[in-house]
Amino acid sequence: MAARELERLMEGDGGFAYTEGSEVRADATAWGLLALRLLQSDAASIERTAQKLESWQDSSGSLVLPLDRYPAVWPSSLALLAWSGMPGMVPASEKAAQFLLHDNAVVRSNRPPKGSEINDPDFSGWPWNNGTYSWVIPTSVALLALKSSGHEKEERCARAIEMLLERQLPHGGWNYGNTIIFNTELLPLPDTTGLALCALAGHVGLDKVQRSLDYLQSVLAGISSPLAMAWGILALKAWGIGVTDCEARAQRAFEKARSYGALNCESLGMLAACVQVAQNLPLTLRAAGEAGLK
Amino acid sequence: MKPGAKQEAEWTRRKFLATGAIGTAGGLLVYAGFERIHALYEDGKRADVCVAKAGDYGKPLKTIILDGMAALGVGAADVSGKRILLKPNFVEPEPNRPQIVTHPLVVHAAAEAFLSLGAAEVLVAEAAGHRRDTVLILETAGMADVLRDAKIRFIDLNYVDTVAVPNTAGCSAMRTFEVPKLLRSVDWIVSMPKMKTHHWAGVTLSMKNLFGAMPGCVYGWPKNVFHHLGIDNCILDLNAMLQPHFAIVDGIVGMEGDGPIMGDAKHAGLLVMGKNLPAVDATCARLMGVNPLKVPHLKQASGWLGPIREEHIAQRGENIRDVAVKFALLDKVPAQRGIRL
Repeated sequence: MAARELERLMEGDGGFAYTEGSEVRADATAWGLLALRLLQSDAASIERTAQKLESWQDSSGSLVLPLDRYPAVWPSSLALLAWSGMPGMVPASEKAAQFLLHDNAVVRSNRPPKGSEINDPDFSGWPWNNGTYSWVIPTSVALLALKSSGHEKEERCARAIEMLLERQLPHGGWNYGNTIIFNTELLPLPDTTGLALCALAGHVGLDKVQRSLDYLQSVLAGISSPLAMAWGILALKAWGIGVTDCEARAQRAFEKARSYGALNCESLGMLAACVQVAQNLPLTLRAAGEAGLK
Repeated sequence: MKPGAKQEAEWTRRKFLATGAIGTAGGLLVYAGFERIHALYEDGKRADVCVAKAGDYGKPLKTIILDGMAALGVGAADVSGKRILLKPNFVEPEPNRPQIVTHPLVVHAAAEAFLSLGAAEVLVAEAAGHRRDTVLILETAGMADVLRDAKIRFIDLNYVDTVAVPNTAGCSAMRTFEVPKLLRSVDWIVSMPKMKTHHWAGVTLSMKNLFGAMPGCVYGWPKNVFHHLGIDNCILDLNAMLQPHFAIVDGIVGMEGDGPIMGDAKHAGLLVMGKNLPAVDATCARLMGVNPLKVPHLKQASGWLGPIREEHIAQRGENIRDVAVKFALLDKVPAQRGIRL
């Protein structure tokens, strides 16, 4: 069923639209490629989509949604994640990785008003837009992508791990990237928390994230939206916590999103990852590639 | 006064200097007086704003909105056959914190009101500023079932196709903005914010609500680019560029203190409506006990995007002084310091 929905979003040249009827775009195509690979679609489609994605890569190695200042560079991480483990995409992957490691500018301070207690700017990860502040989601995706492509030992990854730990809320979980503003602790968000926990898995001890895992487990049963549910399940799985009924939950989330008219290629990609978990298939695409999945 | 006008004023000042007339104290006084009169007059901008009582969300909100529109002279002739886009605020919905987002029953009532006036189509569209999961946003905001049952389409503006539009106002350093194409294809944009205080902007009302019309896929979550460019500058740029047609502010339960997320619920029991957003927001500010002339983006909008002085706003419905409810402001928050009415 997800495969049929995915087909509706794919153009003849392998590019993907985020939602049906919208324009083909780099971020959507990266999600489309991830979904195709996780759903083990035919090799020709995967190859075509991977190459289409490469057509958006510029000489710096980045894939950008244009803006005349602070261009949105976050699709670069997503492309790297989608290409990982594909032998034919090694040069493009390496260019994207080098962009993330060396050229993706992040400012070290949001220059908050005095007294607002914004987080320590010395911890930096990755921004949505080049030259802006680090946030949890782009940092987590970049870490996952660099891990999948074998760059997890780089210094910038170590700094990003510190940044994610520093942005963890005192009571557990992650908001979009701040913790305490004007003496008030912000609220945790399930999708952000799931993504951050996925990114930190294998890098830090359980004691560092136990509160966040507790938070995620406490809310996950009540969540049936594709993104938050999928990142939550993947996070628990990454930390060795069993989740039952993944495939059925993915199916329910799929139906619900479709009934709201909110199915998109990101949701489809994440639901495909849930099915992957349900079937105990390799979680990282790097491992999937090594296992012979093209 | 918009930046262009400021430049004009600067140029006038330079011309004045060139004449040598300003070399005297008398000349200075004349010039200062001229600027003061100019500000007080607000370039002749005038607007009507309606303040309507709505004690709770169980009241007949559609009727209240229609009555308000009628009081403002808005009727079928203005709306019939038009595509209407309602833009609520779903920035970061949280269970048990209804003060954060525009209430779904207000959105539903507005949709019904426009449809009853003959609108061809009503859409609800939003680019939530902090959260990315569309389904979870709609469910947590209480909006999903309301929209589905009413067969109203929701568009997540965070991921839509965009077009580059020149930044003609030029308050920020942005030369162009990536604007959802959808916003260029509808006839009316209706800003439907929650009545809230804000820890960076003082208040967040119908003008600030337009941050949520811009796609996160381009500007990030939160809309960090706008913070880098200057929040007040971007509020002004977006309002000048998008030129929204109407505002309906949900002040039935608003937020005081540490808005836009962590503040406390504040019952005001009001809906505030109007065609001119600065005038609507200035009225809301007064209702909240805030002086709009001390809120930077409202002060800068004065005489350019609309009037904010009480004497230039024709009040319909309730009298401000009869229904005003003082919203708590925090001394520790610089943007809320010294803005009390």
